[in-house]
Amino acid sequence: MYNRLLIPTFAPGHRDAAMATIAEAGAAIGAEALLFAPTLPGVYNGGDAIWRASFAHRAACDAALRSAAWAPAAELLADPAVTTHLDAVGYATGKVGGLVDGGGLYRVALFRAAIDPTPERLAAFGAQTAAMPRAIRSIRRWQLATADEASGLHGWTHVWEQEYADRAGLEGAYMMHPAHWAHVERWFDPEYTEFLVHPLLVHSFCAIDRPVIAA
Amino acid sequence: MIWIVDEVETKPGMGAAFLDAYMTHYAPGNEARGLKLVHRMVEPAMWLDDAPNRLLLVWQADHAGAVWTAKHRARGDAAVARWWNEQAPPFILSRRRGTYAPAEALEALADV
Repeated sequence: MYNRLLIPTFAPGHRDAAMATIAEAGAAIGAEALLFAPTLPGVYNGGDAIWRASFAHRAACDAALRSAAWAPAAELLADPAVTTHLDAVGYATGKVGGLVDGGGLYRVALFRAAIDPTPERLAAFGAQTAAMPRAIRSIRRWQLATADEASGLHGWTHVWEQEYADRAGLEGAYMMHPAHWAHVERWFDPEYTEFLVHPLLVHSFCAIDRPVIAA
Repeated sequence: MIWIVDEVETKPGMGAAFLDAYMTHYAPGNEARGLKLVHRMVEPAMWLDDAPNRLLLVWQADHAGAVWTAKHRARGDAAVARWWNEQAPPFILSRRRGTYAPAEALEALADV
């Protein structure tokens, strides 16, 4: 699978119309799976909405986003009078796991792992992050992928997605488990010698009524 | 209880000077971020003038929330970056940081 994720922030007064246009266009491009939902209060650099579409491969994704059906959405997403900011990533299926089971909360973080990013350090970061769901029971479904196209606040390098039964799973267990604050956090904390990930990141989430992260 | 430990190997003859600089430039800010410096251990148990000393500087937090609070406050503090990137390196051969908890507390910490 190849996924395209868009996190737009809209200008005041344009949000509802833009959301309607994107929803209509997204429904017409033949994505194998599609999520489009407003973000919830509490996101950090998390935009007004999360749009996530999955395709069989990158060529299908590129064709869909060049199609006439998507053109109205592409136009407003490129118009700074309507869309004041847009973070975007494209990524093939990465490390993925967990149960495909029900709705709840979808959360995505975008990282730029760019501080002395040797292959060994990136591998250790990826392995430790992907191991978090084994320790943190509230993570129901997850994927860690590397971006091969990215724009926005950074040239994002990593996409870290999770699904939870509810918001408490993210803000409670995920944040308070030592696998996070005592272990993986070393890659995000400038006071650790392992410091790898730029502090400016995207942390966004929205409600979902069915699983989003496909195999 | 949670401990954040700075393990530092100083350049030969610079152990005491490093600790003095740590206490002057770094420790007050970390105390203000809610952590408590509970140990300042030196190995060997004397300042060496011709070889490195190894120091263990142990900060204590009461719970995971206090760890997050200290982290978030440190990231917005230019003095922290200045300490580790500019002021400390002239004294240091190597360092690492680790976050520790008592073995008997691990099960409870993971039950969240």
